Amino acid sequence: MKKLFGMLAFVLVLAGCGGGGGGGVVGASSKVPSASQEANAVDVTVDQTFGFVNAPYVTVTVCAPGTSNCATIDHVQVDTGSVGLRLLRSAVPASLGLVNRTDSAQGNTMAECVEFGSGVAWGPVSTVDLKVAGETASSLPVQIVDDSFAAVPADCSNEGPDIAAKGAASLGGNGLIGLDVLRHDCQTSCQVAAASLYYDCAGSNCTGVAVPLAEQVPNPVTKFATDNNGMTLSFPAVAEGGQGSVSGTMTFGVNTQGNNMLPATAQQMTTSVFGEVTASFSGVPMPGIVDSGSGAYFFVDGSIGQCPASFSSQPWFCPPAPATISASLQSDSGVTLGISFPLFNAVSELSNGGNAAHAGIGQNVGLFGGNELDMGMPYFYGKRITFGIQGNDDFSAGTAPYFAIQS
Amino acid sequence: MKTGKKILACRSIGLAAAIGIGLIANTAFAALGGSPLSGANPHVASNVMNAAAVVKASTASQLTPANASANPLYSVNIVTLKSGTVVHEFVSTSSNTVFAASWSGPRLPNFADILGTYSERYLKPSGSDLVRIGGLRQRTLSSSDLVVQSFGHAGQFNGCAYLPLAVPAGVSLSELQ
Repeated sequence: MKKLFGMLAFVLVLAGCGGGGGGGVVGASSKVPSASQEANAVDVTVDQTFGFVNAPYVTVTVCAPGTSNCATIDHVQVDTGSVGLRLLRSAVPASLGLVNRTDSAQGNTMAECVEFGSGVAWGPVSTVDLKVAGETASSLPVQIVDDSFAAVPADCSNEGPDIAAKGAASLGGNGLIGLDVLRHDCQTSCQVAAASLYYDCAGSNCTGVAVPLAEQVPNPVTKFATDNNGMTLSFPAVAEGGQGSVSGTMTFGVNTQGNNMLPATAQQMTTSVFGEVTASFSGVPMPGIVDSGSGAYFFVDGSIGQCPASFSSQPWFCPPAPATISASLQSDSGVTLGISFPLFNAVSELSNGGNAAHAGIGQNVGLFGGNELDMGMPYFYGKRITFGIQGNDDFSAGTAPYFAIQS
Repeated sequence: MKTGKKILACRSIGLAAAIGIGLIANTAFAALGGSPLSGANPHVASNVMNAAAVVKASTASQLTPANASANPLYSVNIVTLKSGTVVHEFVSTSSNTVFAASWSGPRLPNFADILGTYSERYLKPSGSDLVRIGGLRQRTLSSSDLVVQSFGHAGQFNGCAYLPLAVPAGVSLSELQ
């Protein structure tokens, strides 16, 4: 019954958007689901629209809250290594009339300098109704990535390269949807102004501000009316040499519908408050993550040859023959799981440049100091991987966040 | 976990040797290529200068016995930033300038502080690599005179940076911790 209602709602949503005059839709591709597509499932596609390898994209609809004034935004990157929906200003039609949010501490417009390993993104926090598959997250706080908003604080621009410096071309999409196993993008860190990613902007003058969980950019899935406890990414296998493009599926909810049941054989690997397990790799313990926002495997291993600098300035691995990398993962609750993956020669994989999807490509990262085993998008091919969201805003209460790998 | 033994057989020690830090002309700047960070920097909560304890890299394939004695060639400036992120600066004894740094913590470091005069090259990348990947979690800048690697995610950022031409002869990257 619930499922039937969800499908009905989806149809109504589509009708609303079509007739609502979203207008000025940028880069939109109207997407009507096939009759067989279920209300909690949506296509996720790896393609080369933006010239990126192994970037998985979904199409979403955003609406001015409580209205049928909507826009369809394609090529929003699915990122299991961060939390929150972030859209480039250039991808959001002005006709939506989105309104910036204010923070309760100072009462002015709230902006965010969100941090990634690769750099930072700046812009105000706004509110949309998000519709994806048949699910709706109403009045969802999202970041509108916009360097022209106020003045980018020096403390933001000095913390990393601007990943949206060239808009969609440098971001690699029209936005990203962060669907990590956590509920909020900054968790308890941003409750202290000195460590907060959030800014209170009086005019163009923005200063760091402490922000409670309820005002942070949340995991959109947690705001769905149903199927709000996690999601599963499923992709077909990609053979050595790569594939032009790949289409997979994102299914919302875990054990809430017939199509999202987690088999008992899929070990739930509970994670830390940072969404990490402990990876034991070459006998060395380090944080381990499963991350669709990483286009390759990233780990340090000086015993594997790197590709020549003439190929790339990046530290790609170039084993002379396919290698098998093995590691042991230990969950937060102490369960261990052995994993392995192939590592291919990156020059052989990437030099023809024609394929968007590549399994088995990796880079040598973490030369000294801290280490990490980042099992990126190549790991997702040929698997179903479920991401279960922490059950309560209080990390120590409720069910623990976890991921579960089904080969 | 973060201070655990590091792996990696350093490749380019030969390169790093010999040339020394003579090329780094301006030592008036704090950070990489200049003098170590101190409490004078508004982002620094505290710092402690330690002798460099040598623990050789050990991996499953390459076991080297640990050596507990200090390496006289460099010292380690351990800097705690107000954000909670901890930076280790590796300071050449002969020049008293920073030839490498690593960081770990809940926030990205202020790269203007860490990289000093080199920070613009990292913060304002020019040119683009032929192969672009969906890469939100890491960024590498690799050139003959500057290497920066930043990686991690919310709450847990790590990275390292060094000047290949300024690493003192006899110091291997893999021993830096």
